[in-house]
Amino acid sequence: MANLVKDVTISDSHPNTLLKDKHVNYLKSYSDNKEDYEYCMTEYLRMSGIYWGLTALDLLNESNEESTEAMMEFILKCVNDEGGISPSTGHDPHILYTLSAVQIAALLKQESKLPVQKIVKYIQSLQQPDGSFAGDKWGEIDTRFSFCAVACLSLLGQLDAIDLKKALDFVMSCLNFDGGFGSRPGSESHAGLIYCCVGFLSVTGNLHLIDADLLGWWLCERQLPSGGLNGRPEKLPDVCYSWWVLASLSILGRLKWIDQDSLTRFILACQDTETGGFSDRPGDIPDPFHTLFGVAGLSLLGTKDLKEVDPTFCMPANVIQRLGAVSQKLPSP
Amino acid sequence: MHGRVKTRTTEEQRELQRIEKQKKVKLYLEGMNKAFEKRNKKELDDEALAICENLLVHNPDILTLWNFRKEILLEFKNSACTNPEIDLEKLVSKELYLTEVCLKVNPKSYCAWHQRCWTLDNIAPKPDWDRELLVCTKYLELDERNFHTWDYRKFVVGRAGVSAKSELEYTTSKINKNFSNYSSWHYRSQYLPLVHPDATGERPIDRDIHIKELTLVESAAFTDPNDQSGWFYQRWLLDLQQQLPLVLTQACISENFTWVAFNKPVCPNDTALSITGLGDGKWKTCNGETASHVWIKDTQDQSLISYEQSKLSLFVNGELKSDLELKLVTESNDQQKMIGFRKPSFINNLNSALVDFYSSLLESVISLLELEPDCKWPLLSFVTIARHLRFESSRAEIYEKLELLKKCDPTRKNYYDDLRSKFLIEDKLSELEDFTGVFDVSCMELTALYHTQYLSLFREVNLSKNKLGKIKRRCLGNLCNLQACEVLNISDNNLEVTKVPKLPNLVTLVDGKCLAGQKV
Repeated sequence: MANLVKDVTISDSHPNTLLKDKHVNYLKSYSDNKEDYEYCMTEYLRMSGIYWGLTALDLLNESNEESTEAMMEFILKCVNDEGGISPSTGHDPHILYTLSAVQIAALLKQESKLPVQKIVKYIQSLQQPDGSFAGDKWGEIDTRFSFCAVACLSLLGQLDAIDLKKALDFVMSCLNFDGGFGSRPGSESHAGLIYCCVGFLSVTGNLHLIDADLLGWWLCERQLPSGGLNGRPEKLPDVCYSWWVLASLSILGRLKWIDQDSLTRFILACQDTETGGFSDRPGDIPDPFHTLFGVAGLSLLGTKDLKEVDPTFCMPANVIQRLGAVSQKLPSP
Repeated sequence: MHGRVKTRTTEEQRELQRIEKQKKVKLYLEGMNKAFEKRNKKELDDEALAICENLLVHNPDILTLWNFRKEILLEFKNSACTNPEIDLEKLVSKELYLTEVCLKVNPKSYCAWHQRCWTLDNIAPKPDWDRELLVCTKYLELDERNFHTWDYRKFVVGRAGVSAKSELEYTTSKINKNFSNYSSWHYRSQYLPLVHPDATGERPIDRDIHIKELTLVESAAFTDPNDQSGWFYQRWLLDLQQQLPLVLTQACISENFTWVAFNKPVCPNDTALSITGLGDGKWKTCNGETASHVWIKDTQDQSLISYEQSKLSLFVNGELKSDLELKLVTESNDQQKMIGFRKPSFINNLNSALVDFYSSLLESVISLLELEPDCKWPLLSFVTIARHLRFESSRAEIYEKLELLKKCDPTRKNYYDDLRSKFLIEDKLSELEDFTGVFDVSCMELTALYHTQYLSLFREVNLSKNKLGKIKRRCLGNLCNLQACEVLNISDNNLEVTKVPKLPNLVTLVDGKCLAGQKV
């Protein structure tokens, strides 16, 4: 059974410099046409979409203050009776969109306008007896939600509102043979879930529980000859996985274990030269999700003209500093 | 949006697509409005189910619609006791079918998968778990890497009470069909310790099975030496030996300051841990984090320094885990302190059966490397196995192989450099008899600093003329363990900005900018 490396090829025809103005334009005009097909089809994740767009713009040094009031009005309309926040009006609340809303409010320096105690109560209500977190009242369990819970509480300065010990035990029960983490106990390691679990441990100051050399090795093995990173062995590279792997390596103090130049080249090649925005792989259709992770990845790689990003929260570092949301990072060996 | 290739289209095609999309948007908006209206009016009926279904088959990720369906299904279930016309079985099979249709549209839809689990757990009168297991097997034949399917399988296996042994056999059959499948190896790693635990409790799996498993993965990995899945699994099996117990490695009690060092980072707030022989006072980590290798505290009790010899004992959950002998030493300035250290151990000793097996494995890897001298995975395997065997004869060869790895896998050259630095520091520490004088690892091309917890007692540490400066904005956080260090030399490392942690005994920092002798 021949094992062909799944990868992409990057050529001179792909962009190799940051098309900053195009991205600003792409992000700013994304919501212009409310009847656009892509826009409508992503209504179910609108709150996260706004977080992706606003954070990317901020990292690109572009403020969006004129929309602050409308944005907060929208968020407050999405808060339900129990304190959970929905992706859009009419939709159900979920911890994913609750975190996105808190992140947006923090970006806009409007966190004091949030019904903080209600949100905290909602997050508390989602913790299960085994320490895990459900995404909403219907009970889907995932380590993504453990991360959302502590990230949200940390941004609100209320980390001690939940049973942290049990929450930690659950996350650690998802540790695998390869040093990585999956979504539930026994689930295969996956860069996205690793980011969530490493992020959880970073927020709660428990990174010493990780075998950073073992996990760091697994993570740097995600880099393919094209420079891009995949999310699991034998998979294609992708800009969003590049971020999750990169952010995890950065938290673990092992960013230099990947080839930063070739990753920068891969991310730049995923820009759309016509419309702006980043796609998952060179030549694909761009979207705000990959645009944020492309920009954030480049920021972590030290690309000039971008604001510094915090790898744990995927938000501008100055916002995290302003909030005093402390998170642990391991020193490089 | 993943894997959607941007295609060149003509004006005419674009116009057709635009009209098509407009139609879809109209249907979507109308459908959503209808669904929300029905929900607001609490009309939990077949029509509402149909409205949701029409939307979900096009976009399975609209969680709110699945939630609406859950409310409707619960309503039907409640009414079923009084209304014989409601056929719950039929409702369940329709719901399961819908999730299957949706999973064809998006096999990674979290909410479609969850809907399936939820329906079986909450609505199905008698879930057919055997059928569900077959669904998993079928799906895993279509895509053997979909982790959602593997997770669903784990859920079904739990509900159906399938034995761990039978699941382990399933992974054997999957691996026999295609060993280049990381998911199968992962799944196997979950069941192996359950089916074959070690009777002595010293390791995760039984020793004979360990050897059998290494043989299995050897044949898989050797079939295609470029395939990474098997090698990852092999490295795990090889390192299963490496679970070192927590030990107290070094300690110092001086007039007003005490510290202890462990082989692993531990948390002073962990109530399971206690150290006797040190009097009162609260331990703190030396790095300000939750856990650290070195704990510090202010010494109050002078009498601790008066004994000729004493002993510290580390207890975990009340059980004695490790002892450390302390000796009284008198410093040049007549100050007295108690210090203790033990030789560090980096790897557990292999028992004789494993030494034999690892040796034969090393021979096979060497033969493979004769055929494919530049192949990354056997090179790395050589390094791992030889490191475990610790044969003096292969020590130099390990470093040669690491150099080769840097050439044939340049993407990860910094990883191999750090691994080399780790090994060099381990080798250096293993040679030492005394851990209090001068520790000199200058001129070794070190790119990383490992095991600084074993340097807590050295008075002088020389790290100069290495390559520690390869990292931008490097903070030398690991140096916080150097509690006794008075002279620290980090010069000639190309360090951009040197941020050395505050060390209690540091008198002289040689950092290349300020020359030797300068006080800090």
